[in-house]
Amino acid sequence: MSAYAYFPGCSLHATAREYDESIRAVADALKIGLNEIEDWCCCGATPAHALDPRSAQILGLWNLAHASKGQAGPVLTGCASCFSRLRAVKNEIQEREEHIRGAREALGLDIDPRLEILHVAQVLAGEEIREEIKARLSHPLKGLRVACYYGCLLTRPRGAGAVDDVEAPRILEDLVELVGAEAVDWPLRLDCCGASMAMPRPDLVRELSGKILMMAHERGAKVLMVACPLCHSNLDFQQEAILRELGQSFRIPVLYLTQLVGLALGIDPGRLGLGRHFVPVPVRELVPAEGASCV
Amino acid sequence: MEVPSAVLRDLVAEATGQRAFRCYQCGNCSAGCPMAGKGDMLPHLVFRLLQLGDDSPVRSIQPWLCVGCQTCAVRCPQDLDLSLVMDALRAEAMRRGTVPDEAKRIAAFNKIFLEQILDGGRLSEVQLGAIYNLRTLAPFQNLTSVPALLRRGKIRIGGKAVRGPGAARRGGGKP
Repeated sequence: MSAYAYFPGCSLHATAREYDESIRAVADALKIGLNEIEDWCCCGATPAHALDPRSAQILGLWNLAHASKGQAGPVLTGCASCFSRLRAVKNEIQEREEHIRGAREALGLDIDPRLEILHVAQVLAGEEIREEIKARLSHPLKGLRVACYYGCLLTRPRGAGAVDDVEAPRILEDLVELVGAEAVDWPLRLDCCGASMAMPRPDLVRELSGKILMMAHERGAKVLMVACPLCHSNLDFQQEAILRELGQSFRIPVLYLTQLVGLALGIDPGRLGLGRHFVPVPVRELVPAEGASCV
Repeated sequence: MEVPSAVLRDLVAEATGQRAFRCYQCGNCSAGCPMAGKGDMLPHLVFRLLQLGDDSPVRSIQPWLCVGCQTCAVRCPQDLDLSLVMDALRAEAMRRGTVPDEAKRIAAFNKIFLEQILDGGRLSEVQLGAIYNLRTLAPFQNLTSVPALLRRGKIRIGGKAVRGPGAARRGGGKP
């Protein structure tokens, strides 16, 4: 189908390796071309702009310049933080040019002003791709109750190129319903997990992520679906410690959106990296055994 | 010497384009902030103090707790982005040497993170953790998770080396 300049970001090469694997596996199944951007560097995430906004601009400009080379197509990223940072810098060029002019001149690289930046959720929401998913849905996830967790940065900044409405997005719920599962109605889907405070202030992350886990569970979700590697780390890697501290015995698997879609497309769980999670993913319970009702 | 207080408001406006006087203190930012009540200053108070020419936001822990989630920004009826102001306040606190003690760990984390990517291009979460442990004098924290991460293939050793923009700029070369 279409081709994209793929921006994996640092986490997808390490702690969120399964997100990268599942993005590649789903793209492969849906015939989406991914060309990894050569020499991409870290987007700067939260710590860069938190400490030195100008460095954050330089990092963003560097990546936009590398993505512009060779016209590989729109940028596709799976990381909500990379997505937000790249968009923030692009929007700054377009809307507050005087604030970024200095950094642009210092770096001196060409950037294609029309370069589109897309999160994988947006690509999967495209009309043609939705048709392709429907046609290949070998294992519809009937009856699976999924809490879609957007976290904060997937929908931000507001303005040009946003995935959806900043306060009432539906893009993840639509995807969950497309693959036959049920999207749970719950209130904390846009609340922050604590993000990069995981190292310097783990107490804050445990408090914020604890609320999210508890609420998803109370609303009867069997799975939390995320679209950000840091959300995943805080909710999966830290889950055991958080829930033990809260005296809770339940555990809730946390899947990336591409892992959930991959299961519905009948992709082997190993290729989706489902064995790499800290909270075990009971694939047989999630995917109906007699799944092959379509195709 | 204390910098005259009115300057802080202007410095912030200069750096971010956010004009404190636009704020009419509705409190929406504080209502949605995940860190409201966890520091010493409710978010909307930051704008109020800037309006009054008060310098205390630059010495407060509150900007350091801001995770940049931008909930304040998307809900502001005046279209102000407080998360940008928090960025500018942290940068100014570093310049003035007014980073509060409780924020030193957060500042250290941000600094190590940024140094690593400006030079190395890409972040190694494990290297970040190791350096952070050394600099905060807690060499063994989180160490127990390393084997579990390794078992799951979540620590990649020897990835592609990329020249970060920092290194590239010093070399004067173009990528």
